[in-house]
Amino acid sequence: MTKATFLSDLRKALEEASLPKKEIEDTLQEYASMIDDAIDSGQTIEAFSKTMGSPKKVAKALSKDRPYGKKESSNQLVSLSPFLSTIAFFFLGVFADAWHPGWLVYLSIPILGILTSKKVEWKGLFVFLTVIVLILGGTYANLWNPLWSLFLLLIPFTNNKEKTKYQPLAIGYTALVVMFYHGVILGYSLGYLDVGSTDVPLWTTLLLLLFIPVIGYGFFTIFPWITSLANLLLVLSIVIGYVVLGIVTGLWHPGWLLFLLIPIYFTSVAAKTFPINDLMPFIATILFVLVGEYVSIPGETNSYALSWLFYLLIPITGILKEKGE
Amino acid sequence: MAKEITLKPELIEGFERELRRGSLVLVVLSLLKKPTHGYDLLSKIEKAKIDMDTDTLYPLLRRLESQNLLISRWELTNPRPRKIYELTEMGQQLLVTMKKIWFQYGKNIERIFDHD
Repeated sequence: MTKATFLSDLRKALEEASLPKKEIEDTLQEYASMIDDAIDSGQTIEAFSKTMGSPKKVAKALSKDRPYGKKESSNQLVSLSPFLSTIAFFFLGVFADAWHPGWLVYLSIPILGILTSKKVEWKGLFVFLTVIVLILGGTYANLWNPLWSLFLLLIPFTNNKEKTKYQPLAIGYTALVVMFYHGVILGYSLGYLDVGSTDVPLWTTLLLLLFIPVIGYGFFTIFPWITSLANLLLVLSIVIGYVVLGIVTGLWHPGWLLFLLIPIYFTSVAAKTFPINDLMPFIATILFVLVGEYVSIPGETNSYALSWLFYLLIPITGILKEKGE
Repeated sequence: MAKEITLKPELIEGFERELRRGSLVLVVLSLLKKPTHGYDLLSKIEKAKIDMDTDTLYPLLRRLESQNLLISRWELTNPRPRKIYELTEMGQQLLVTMKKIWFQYGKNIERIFDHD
């Protein structure tokens, strides 16, 4: 190990720990100075690393220690959020009869967790906010379509090694297509694009073809093994199945659940593993929608007010898996 | 006659670490009564044969600084720039208080040992 490699490793570890840039530079400068002192005293870099800590240990300790005041108050807020959410949920249910979608207040728990964490997971935050927008828009304005397409915006941001080459193009294309799709569907819903059809017309359905490059990009980068013809056919047959189901039966919702079979297939069957934690968000969504849509509870035509509880399977399996390990 | 038991070194190390935990702060505060730079501080700790988890030394300095117990500044003189740490007034007061607590605690423990 040389001074340069130690400092390079330290920079990487500090950046991964999401420390502020100024603190990173300050730490690196001080370590560089201390290493020079150590070398002058006849110490090796290995010995220095042993006494002053490996880059990973230093980064972990620095990350753990800060920021003191904010961390405590943030943790308190996160700890209180389940109770506050429960109070809000019952108020909304009892006084506004909004058990569904009042349950969405529980999403404030993971959202607060993300916002108060040292490294904000913007992708996770986007998923929760999209779920809120989808459920509210779908429930109150029946805008399940096109709001579902917001999830496509996640695809170009998914981590992969090849992302640097085509990622900007993928982000731009996806954003444009999603905006265009929303514009067309909303224009049609508001009567600006009325072409006399009684249902979502075929030409708006054909717009789904614009998403094929987005889905293709996602699957080639997230799941490289999709390159086999059989897998490609599976994806295409699901897309065609969704379109056919929608046109023939009008079940665009909850027909879109068919798309969840794709990540389920590729993360379990094709990968020959069963990562329950990764699969549970999809399984919970399928159960939430199917039970919510087709099972009725007294006084209600659906059971979304209760079926959202299936989402509790996500933290439950997460906790059980963690304990098991 | 009682059977002689050999204690595993890991067991002793674990208990020793527990005893040491927390004393690093006192050592660092004591050594920073005079302005000192990071590597010098490490050398003093090693010279004093204080066996402790030194890999937490640097994060500890940052923590104590954020708690206003010490201040740091870059000294841009030869042979190279070095960051100098020094106790603040608050740090000095804490050191005096902690020393009293340390000695009192030691006496109390000794009293218990004497009862054996």
